[in-house]
Amino acid sequence: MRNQLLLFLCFCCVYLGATAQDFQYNFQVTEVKFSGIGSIAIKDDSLATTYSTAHWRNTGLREPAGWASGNTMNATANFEFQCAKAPDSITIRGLGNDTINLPARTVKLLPATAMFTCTYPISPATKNFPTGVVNYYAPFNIYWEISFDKGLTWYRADTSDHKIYVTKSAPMAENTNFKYFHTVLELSCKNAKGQTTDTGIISKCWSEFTDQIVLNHKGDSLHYYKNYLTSNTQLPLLLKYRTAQCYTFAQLFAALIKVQGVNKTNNYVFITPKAVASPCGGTIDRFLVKNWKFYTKSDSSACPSFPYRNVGTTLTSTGYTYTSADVVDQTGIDGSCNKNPSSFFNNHQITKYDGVYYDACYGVKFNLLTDIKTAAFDAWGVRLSPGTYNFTNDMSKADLAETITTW
Amino acid sequence: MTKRFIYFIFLFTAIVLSFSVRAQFRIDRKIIIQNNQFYFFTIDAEHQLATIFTGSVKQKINKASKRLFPIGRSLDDPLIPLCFDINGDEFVGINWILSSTNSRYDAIKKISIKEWSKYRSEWSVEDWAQVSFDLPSLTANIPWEQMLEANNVLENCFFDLIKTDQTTMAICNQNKLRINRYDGTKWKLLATVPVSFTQYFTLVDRGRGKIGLLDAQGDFYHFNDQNYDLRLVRKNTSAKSQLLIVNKDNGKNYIISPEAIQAGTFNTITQLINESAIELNN
Repeated sequence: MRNQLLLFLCFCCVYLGATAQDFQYNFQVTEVKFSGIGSIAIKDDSLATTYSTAHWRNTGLREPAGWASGNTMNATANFEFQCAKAPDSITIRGLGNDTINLPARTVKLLPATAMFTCTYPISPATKNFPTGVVNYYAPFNIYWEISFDKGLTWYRADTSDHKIYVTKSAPMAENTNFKYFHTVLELSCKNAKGQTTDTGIISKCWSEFTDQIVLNHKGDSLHYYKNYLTSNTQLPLLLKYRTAQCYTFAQLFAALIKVQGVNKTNNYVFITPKAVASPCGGTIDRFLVKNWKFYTKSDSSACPSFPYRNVGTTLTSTGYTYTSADVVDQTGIDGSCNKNPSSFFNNHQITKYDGVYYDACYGVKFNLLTDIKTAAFDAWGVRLSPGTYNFTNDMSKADLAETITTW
Repeated sequence: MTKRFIYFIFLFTAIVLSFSVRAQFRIDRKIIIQNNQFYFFTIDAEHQLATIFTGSVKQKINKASKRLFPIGRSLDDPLIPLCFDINGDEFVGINWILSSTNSRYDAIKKISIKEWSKYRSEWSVEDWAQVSFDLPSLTANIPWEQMLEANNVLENCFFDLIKTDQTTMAICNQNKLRINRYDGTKWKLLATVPVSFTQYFTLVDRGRGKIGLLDAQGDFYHFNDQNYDLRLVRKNTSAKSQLLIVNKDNGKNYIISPEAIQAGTFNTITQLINESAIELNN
């Protein structure tokens, strides 16, 4: 009789709370944790944290979770339940997106200060993430429902919102510079959502770069040479400092593909001028990426084939300075989040998939290596001494050589 | 109670200090001893630049002086530790810092240790990197260029260099090891031998113009004098990787585990050799 009275009181509490729209204060989810076979240990971009201890708290914590497709999401959750008189147990279930639900579980209520608590035990969802399909849930809402009659009648109690990434296959193994970074999962799964093939994934991930605006998972810009002096050449440093050299954008594109479990070898290309001796001394070992303005050929008599001379070239954080210059940097081809990135190089890094060269820094692709110099370069250069360079805008004077590795 | 607390604080501080000191020494590839001084290098985990550590063989390793040095290496996988040799004041090494302005063709640098170990407070690490790219080369990196001409797809690609009276550079790619020698005017490819390295290797000067090779597992090989085939002369029984110690004062080479050095940073290099190193049979 006493228990029935308590049950009735709680029912009133829920009912009144729900209709008064303040029931969330009476029954609320406080923490959600995910796990399960095929789950991906996503890392914070700064590498400070692996998201694994908890993925959601009502105090504000929001950390993403990820699985390789074909696997099942497991979840556990903690709740607070405020009721003057509570029953011994209640039944809880979670309704998620795409009918990926958490099954009903009857749990005991434990008394705590001025409330009761309970834990939804680790439980597998009612169905897998479909095999072979990339997915991106932003958000994946879990509508938590409770029942006082073992599932005959359900009441919507609270909601937790999650970011969930589903990769096509198990990601390639991590190494020194390839990690399961939050931004890598975000950009890869967001762009490749719904894709089921390797070519589809490559194509869709590439679309992240084509507008020259690459943002991290927080929406912050990832700059190609915001600081011309940046020494960042590893993907973790691009994500940490958000300004970096070309190496890192090529790596980011490759990472978006690797994290989907797409295994492609010989995908990372280092390009540099073929080491040919210049008639002026030294070897041709520099190139200028558009746009540069050519003034008087001050060295045309001494070195007619490389007649433009810059002396006292110094790289600064925002550009180049010279003692004297025949060739001067102009606003150039847009790089990621930078209208005028650094453009005076010895080498450059791009990626290569199925015979196509992808230059992620600039968001452009080429079918042939020889297309790069005509489409993107203004000049070849020769370093004669530190700071002193001669240039030619005759692009037939040299060619690029490629060194291919697997990233 | 107070005594216990003081003891705890003392112990805690000692542990923290000990870890902070040990963490300084992630030595790259080898330690060189010459004229009773030791030299070794560490690499910064972000900007790729080397720090040179030097000191007397009679002083504790953790008392070594250290300075940024205009050389460095990539942080990519697979690891290729800094390639270098030291003879007197002359440092010769391969500047393999990844940067869009660093030329691999000009990467073999010759640097005065005395001149470039000076403290330059006004320089940022970016300045040091730019300076390192512009330093003069000992010679063009012809072995690298020739290797790429043969095969520009890198797979299990590793290299190292030593300089005695001549400079020897070995490059492995796709199971072929190319041994090159520079006589001061030109490079000559001495031999190409089959290998199966999946990690870095270190060249070893055995004296009398002979060279050896220490692989990442600590196995030691001699090159055949005629055709440069590799012959295993010492299998490392320890599961740990090994650093090379080159003592140019007595012509001996040793191997030692990095863990032994980290545990012995309060010792001198001589003590470490006596207690923890194994002499290689030249």
